[in-house]
Amino acid sequence: MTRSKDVIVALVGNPNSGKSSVFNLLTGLRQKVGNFPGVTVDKKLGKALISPEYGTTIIDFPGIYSLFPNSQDEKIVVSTFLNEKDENYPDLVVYVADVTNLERHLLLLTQIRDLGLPLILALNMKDLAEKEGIVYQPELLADLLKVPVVPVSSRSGENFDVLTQTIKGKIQNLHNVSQETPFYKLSPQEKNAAQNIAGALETQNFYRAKLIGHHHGWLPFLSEEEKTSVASICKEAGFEDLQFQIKETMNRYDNFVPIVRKVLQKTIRKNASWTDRLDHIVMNRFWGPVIFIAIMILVFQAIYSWSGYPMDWIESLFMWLGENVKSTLPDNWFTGLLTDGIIAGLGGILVFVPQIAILFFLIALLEEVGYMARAVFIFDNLMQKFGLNGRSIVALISGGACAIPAIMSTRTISNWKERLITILVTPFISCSARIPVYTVLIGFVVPSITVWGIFNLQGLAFMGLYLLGIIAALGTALIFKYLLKSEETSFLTIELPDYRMPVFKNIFLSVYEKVKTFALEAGKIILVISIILWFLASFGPEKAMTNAELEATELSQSQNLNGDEAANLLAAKKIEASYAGHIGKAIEPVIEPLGYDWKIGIALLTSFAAREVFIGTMATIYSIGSESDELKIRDKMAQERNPLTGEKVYSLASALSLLIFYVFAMQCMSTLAVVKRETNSWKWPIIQFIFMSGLAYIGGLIAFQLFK
Amino acid sequence: MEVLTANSLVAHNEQELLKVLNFTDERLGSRLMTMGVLPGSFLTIERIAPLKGGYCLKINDKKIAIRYTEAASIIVE
Repeated sequence: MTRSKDVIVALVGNPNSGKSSVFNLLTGLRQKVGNFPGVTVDKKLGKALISPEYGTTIIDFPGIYSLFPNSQDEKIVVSTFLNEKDENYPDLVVYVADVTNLERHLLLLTQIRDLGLPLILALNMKDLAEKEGIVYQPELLADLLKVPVVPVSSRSGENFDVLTQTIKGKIQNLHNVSQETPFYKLSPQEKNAAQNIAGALETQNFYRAKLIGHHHGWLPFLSEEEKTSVASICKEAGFEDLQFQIKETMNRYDNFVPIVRKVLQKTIRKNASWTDRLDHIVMNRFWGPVIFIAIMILVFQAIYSWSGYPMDWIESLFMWLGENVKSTLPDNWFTGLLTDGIIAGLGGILVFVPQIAILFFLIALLEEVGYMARAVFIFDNLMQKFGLNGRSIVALISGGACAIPAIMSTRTISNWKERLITILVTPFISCSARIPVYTVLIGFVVPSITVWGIFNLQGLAFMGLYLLGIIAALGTALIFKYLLKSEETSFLTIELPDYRMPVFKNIFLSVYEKVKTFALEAGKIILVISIILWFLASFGPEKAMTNAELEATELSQSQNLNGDEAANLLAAKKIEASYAGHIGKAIEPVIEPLGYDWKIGIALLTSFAAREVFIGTMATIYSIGSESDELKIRDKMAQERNPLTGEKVYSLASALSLLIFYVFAMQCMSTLAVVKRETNSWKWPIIQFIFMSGLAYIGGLIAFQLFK
Repeated sequence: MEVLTANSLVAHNEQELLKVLNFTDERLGSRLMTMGVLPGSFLTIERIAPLKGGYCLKINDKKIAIRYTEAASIIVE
């Protein structure tokens, strides 16, 4: 049999069924991440080597508990399975269930069976069941459910050869599927409605028709006329959405609970399990938060200390590359584009990779051992008050290292409104890129003296800036909580899985996938903006640029400057004459009330590439060759005076204003690029940019006007 | 604040073994049922977080965490 199209195999199951491990074992590294059409839910798909005759694409659907969905990622499964024309509509479903908790996992299985989809049941956690002394008969279960059953262990990979063979056998017989009697018998009322819906939509399966009756309000593939006609059919038949859902659920349980009793015997645990003993401490009202904070400090520390070296390597590699290219190629605009635009831009993307990789490694590890669900439970109450979710705490703390991986980690929040607010406020948390800016400016605001015996005043000021960021994040979250409307009900209802040893293969695949996504998706946008910034800083109106060069040469000759000094002076004059310089001067009236001059204007503009660029730009403007010399830059800045008033440019007021500006301002195109990707629209990054910059402007203005 | 009946889950204490009777909110109830909290099933309150925080329940040897509002919608005996 040859097929023009790949066979689509859907992996479905409850959360914590080990579905992702099964996916990783079936596809290995042949996986990629896409989006389901029109929504931001990630679609993980991969090629499996089932048979040489046809390609097999495996789609890992989000974990769900039933075909009565609540959140966005749950709805995607239902809308795919109810629409035979959907591009992701499966030819075969492999249902993954946890055999140690079979009762709860069978609800969804029987629903999918009633949709008439070819089905295989993979009974996962075989190893665990043996350890816990659970005795079960897979053949009898297969017989009673009328579904092929394969016990597997996704931790050890046991029996995956059998699973692959079973998939292969099923695919070869796709055309002669015998329709079993449905597991759930529709009531006369339901049947009446389903019959009419099936007729109106030309579908054969009554259970599918019944589900369309439940969900027609939001199903994206129905046309407006179809929605209206389904709605009127439901109304006529007296179709009660929620009551019928509850009735169906009860009826299904009544049917399969006896089956589970027949095929599976559990021995009752005598001692409190490991999980119970650990939870006694981990979820204690006092120790719980303490342990959480201790773990987060460790994570934070790891991101700082472990990522330092690889980040230095990447930076020096790109610097070396840039310098070599510069010295080999002729000095023209193309070389400039290559070195200062493209190579610098690529370096700017890849330098974040160590932090992202380490953060995601640790988060995946905490998730894998089962800790994350506990942390979510501990903080859910507090986070709810700010319109956030328990899971937001992870993003907010990661934001202290870098907002990019933090925003990417919000995908675990299923409620869209809560996730969006988390994404919008996370960049307020002071990230590591703000540190060099704080370091340079803080000296202008407070002296380095010891207060109350032990505290360094500058250290306290540093902490104050961090606190200011946290307050801004929670305060804006509170505002968005009341501004944003959401129909989606917010639930916590989260399963707390047993603690278990991590499977490192899963962790590494998760890190690999996230780093790849960041480098490719966000990288594209970062690269484009780097090139634009390079253009603005290196080109200007022709006349102005020539004048700048002449002026610089004259000055160097009259002041007897050496080669390096002359080159620095030339760079300073050139950036003044460039388009960036013109923009800096053009925005000077706007930023003047904040106490900034056009030089700071240029730095604000170039900081948009990344905040730490502020230092580099200052170095160029003040014509200091080495940008690593923070003290030298500070000396130069301290001497700077306003040509009209003769006042110092970096006074307490303007430096404080600038600090506050940097705490609040959205000056990171990488973050904006990631927000665009995660929210699937330009709307939210634009709104975020406006409110963050607005707050920065107002904050800076108040600070300058109060202290000047 | 909502009026609580004596048989709501939130009127009970940690470590109590309770039988689920019904739900006051159909939407929350429907969601809880899909996670195995069914009328007629037994559950233990494992842990109650302070200040109307969450409830941690044990049902069928598995643990689930729910919010106060979700717990309040469960009627037990």
